[in-house]
Amino acid sequence: MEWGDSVFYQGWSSESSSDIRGGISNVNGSLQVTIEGQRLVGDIVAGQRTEDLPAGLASNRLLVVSVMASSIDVAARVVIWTDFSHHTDVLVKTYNDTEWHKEIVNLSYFHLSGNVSMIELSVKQIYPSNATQWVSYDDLAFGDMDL
Amino acid sequence: MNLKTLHNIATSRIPHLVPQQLASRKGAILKWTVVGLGIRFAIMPILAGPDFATITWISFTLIQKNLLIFSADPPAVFFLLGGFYKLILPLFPSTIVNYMTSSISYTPPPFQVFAMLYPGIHTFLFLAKIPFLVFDILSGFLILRFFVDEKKALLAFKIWLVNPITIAISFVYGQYDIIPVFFLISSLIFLKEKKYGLTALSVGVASMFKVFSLAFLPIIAIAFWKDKHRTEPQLRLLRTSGLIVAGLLPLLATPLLLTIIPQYYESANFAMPAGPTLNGFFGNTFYSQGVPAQPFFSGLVGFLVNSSASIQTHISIADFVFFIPFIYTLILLGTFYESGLSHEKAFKYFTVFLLLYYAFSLFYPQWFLWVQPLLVLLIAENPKIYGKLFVLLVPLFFVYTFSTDNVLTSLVLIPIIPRALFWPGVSSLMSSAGLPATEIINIFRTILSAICVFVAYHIAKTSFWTKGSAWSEPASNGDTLQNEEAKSIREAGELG
Repeated sequence: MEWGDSVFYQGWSSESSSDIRGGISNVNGSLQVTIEGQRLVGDIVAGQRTEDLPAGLASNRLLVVSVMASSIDVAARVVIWTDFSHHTDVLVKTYNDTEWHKEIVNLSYFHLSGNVSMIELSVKQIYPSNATQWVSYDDLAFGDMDL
Repeated sequence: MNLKTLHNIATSRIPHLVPQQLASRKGAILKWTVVGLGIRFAIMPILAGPDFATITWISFTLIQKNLLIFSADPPAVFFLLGGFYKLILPLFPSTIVNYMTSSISYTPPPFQVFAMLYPGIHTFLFLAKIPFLVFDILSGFLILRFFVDEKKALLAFKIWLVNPITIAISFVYGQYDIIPVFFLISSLIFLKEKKYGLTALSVGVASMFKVFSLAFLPIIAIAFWKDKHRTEPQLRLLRTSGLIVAGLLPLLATPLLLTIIPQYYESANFAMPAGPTLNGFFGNTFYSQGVPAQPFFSGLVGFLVNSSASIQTHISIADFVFFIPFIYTLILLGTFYESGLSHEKAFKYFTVFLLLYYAFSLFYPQWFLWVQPLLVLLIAENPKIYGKLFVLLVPLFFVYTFSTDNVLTSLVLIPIIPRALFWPGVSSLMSSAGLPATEIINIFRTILSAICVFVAYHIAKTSFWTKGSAWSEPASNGDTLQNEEAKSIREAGELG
């Protein structure tokens, strides 16, 4: 499964921590998740997707996604929901170079099973700030490793 | 250019490397150099550990992107290796260099292992290890300079060139410890020549690469203090302090290096479960926002305390006696109460410290390289005693590396056997055969500790607080070390 084209932005909805402003936008086809206003450590704004997701995690052990962050004050956070009461962070990472990074995450380390009910691509505040910050995502894909 | 011209060029250059008293043994030195180079050339392109891929990755990122990725290794390594790689960059296979400088991250990070699977890996490994080769061979030539006795000098040189421990650490595992070891040997040469400023400076340069060498600085300062006993006390104190500052200068100057380039902090993926799968390499950078994961002196604290065996004096109070600082204090007291501290004794006190360190502290296998030149000198002086003990230490060292499981065993084979990526390490093999791997490996580790303690004891018994020099043969053999020792003892009449 791959969304590596210009319509990657389509199919996502926005969610955020209480009292936190932010949202999602389409920047050249990529999904940009923005967080605004006065924030504390741990505040989150997320883009969520519940459709067109991989059927089984057993045969999709690798998650590949391209990420770019506005500053090291925020982390990119990718969450997999296997049902609507079980979720697992599979990527929480900072970047300080405002460049695209391709992340390849081996999901087998998280002992996930079943299907993916929802994916969250989010921005998580790491240091308190009131400046607008964002994390962009693109080329999300699931697959397996062939060596 | 014909062979005769080449020979003339070679012989006209070799005297700069070979001490004058060994001029008649140039043939043997050349022969053993060729043997040593042959072994190294054979190994360099075909074997390498994951750590080697990491340091080359950081070095290439530095020269290609002008970004320094902070790691557990000091920046000086990447500046030095990166500088050399930049000179010969067109010779490296672009596939691997492009892979190393791409923005792809793996969680958990098998990046280093993947690099070993790329086409052109053999050329890459050979070229990337050339700096190690230069420091390693030059170290051998420096070792020639410790002895007036040509037999001892040549024996030390030969052992250095075929020592399986030095070869494995630098050319199989691809660890850079040979760089600080070269500067440590340089400092020993300068100390022998009583060039104290250069001695301290060499130790300082070594400490830019591995902080252990700073442990030699106080011993040098005490040797200087004793040597200058006729100097006016205030001036003596001032000059000794200056010597210590000279030794610390290169390490203190490192932050200046870091102001030259922007620093890049590669964060760990903190979603990973705690434990070895979390990339601890960059772990703390996530929280430090621009502050390196390793505080400036954390290496020194880590070296002296964190891996040391210790005794907690009270079950509910955090009162510890750490073995390594304890031993080091004894070493310093020992040097201080010597009537004179010749360069031989200074070497031996440091050797004893390192041996006891290995005996009572966790050490990474590459750290065992630090003591190798010192052991080689001991063996050349007394092959009957130290040679036999060294023969025991070699296999025990390699058993000790089994505790890393596949990291220093099957994974180093990947460049020639890609399927070794899936092979278990020795420790796992033993466990799958129903053997208690940890216990077996640690029994051999304990024997290694015991031998280190025995060698240390033997050195102390024969060399410390004695008026003679255990290293020297009778004066009739022309070894000037003994004369220096006697002179030093005669002159240093006062305590301290």
